Amino acid sequence: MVQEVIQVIKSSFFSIWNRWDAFWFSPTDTLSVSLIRILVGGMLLYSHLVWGTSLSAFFGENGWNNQALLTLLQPDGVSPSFWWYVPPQWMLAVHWLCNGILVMFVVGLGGRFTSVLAWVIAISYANRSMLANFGLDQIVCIGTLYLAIAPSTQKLSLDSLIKKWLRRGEDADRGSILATVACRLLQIHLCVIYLWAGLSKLQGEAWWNGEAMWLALANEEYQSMNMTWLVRFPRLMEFLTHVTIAWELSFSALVWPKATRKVVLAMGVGMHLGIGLFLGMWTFGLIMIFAYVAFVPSASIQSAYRWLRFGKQESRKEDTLSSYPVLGVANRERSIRKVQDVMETCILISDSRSTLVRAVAMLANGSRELVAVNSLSQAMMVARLVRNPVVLQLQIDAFDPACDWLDIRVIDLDEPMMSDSEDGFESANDRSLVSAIH
Amino acid sequence: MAKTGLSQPLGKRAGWIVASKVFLSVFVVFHLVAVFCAPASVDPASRLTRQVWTFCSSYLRVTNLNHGYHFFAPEPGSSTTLEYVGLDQLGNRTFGRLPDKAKMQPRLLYHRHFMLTEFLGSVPSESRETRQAVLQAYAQQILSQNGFDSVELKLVRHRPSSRQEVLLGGELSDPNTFTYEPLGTFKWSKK
Repeated sequence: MVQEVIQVIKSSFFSIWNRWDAFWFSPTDTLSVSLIRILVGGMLLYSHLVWGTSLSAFFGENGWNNQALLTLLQPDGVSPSFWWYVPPQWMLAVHWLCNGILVMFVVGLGGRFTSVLAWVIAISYANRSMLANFGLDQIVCIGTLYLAIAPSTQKLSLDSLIKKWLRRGEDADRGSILATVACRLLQIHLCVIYLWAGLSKLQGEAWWNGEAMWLALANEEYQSMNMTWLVRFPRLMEFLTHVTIAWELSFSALVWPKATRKVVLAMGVGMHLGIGLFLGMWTFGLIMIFAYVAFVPSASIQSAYRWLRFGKQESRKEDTLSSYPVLGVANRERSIRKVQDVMETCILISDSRSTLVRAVAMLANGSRELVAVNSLSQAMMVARLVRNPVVLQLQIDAFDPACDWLDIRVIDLDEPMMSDSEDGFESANDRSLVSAIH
Repeated sequence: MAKTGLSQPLGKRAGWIVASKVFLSVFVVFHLVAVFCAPASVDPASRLTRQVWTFCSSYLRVTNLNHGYHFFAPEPGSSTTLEYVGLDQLGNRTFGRLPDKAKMQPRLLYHRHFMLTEFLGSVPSESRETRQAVLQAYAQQILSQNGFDSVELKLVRHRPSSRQEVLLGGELSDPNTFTYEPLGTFKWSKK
């Protein structure tokens, strides 16, 4: 009895850990974080160039953000910034040095070191110019923090070009756990931002009676386009007010399911473009839209990237698992059930999409049916449904003892690549994988 | 199925990977708690969220994540700007505005100056010491930027016109939508 209870606790723990592991630590393509780096880094650079037009006014000891004033406002100690230690005569030199580092960050030169420096620069400027900050600075600091965690200069960067030139060939994408962590943190942070933006609005009467949208658009100091003609459409104003608050409150729930994600993000893009167009805050509107890249599947970014790089035909050819005779990528129970009648099935498990694509491409001509899944639990479901399954676990680090009954072969496709191999296979493991199946 | 040479031992490497994942998980949980309680601790807030915020506040401050995300909340209201009249050594009087849409380009620069005056507007009048310190800092900057000897500051609050006012032919810049509060005259004080 006690052992059964322990077993249940154990299996529940592993089940939770597997879900947590799959959510946070499945390696993903670094293309997403690389794209975010260019977008957020570009905005950061622009905002710093603008700081440069009034450097001493905003960062000087007796400027708007007077040192004595900030000390008074932060009795527990001023927020850290290297600007506190820069003598006035060095300010301009330090500022241009920072801009130089930011240019390196945008073009992806210097790897993680530049990313961390970009984050330090972002928070140092924001902490020192506290009174002149707004949403833009908040999001830029958030973005650069997560980009400092992720290997964001691995793609779309000078670093990758240099590596490619040195190795005289394309660098294989091995995915990155830290890229996943960074994207997940950014996704959840956006949810927190919108949730609190919505909740805080519930305290105001204007968001209930529908007046808020009008009040925002009729604010002359913000306004960049005269929208007073909307006064003739009061119901539209009220509708937009209600939609805004409903969207903000529901974002954190509706952005996760695939069915609603596109709609939720499209509404966000519309809202932020509106903020840019009508309230003149293009920088804030755009930085929020840039952050949405974290929600775009890396496969979509990958195919857009290929389309831009190679044209339509190539992007189609290489893009998805569906290009191969595979039963499907089984993410849900109903799709897993489709393999029930198959006599012999090879189940490929990997949390890396690119690994699966590679493995499937290699095995596509074999006699077995292939099922690509991205977790052990899905593999177990498939294995229960089919006869004589062969399970191949690719690149999975955690091992769930609950899967002991499956005869799993673990193959690490991340072994060093041998692209100049005579038989065309990239590594010894690739050869083993093929011989295991055929 | 016989195990062949293609099986990789999970031993040491897997141990390190699991350990680093556990470490990352602890960081992720702490970070997310901090990120969540930053806006949750803005008034009105429970004691619990304030206590959690106190625990995380140093981290939030260092990483510049201590934000409420109260955009246009609780509701879009009046905006605050400054008007000033500067007096130079020759006795010339110069009128100016902070921020000034026409003079401050690009728009981001205008917006940064607007945030300065919005901050001044958000300081409660009861916090006299803070308000005075903000005014002193702003006045000194205006004096040094323009080469004035003294400057007279006026706080301008501009409420958005109501729909009824606009329907009756009013404009957003109608004088009755502005209120003015004289803030005093400030002189150059070299430190």
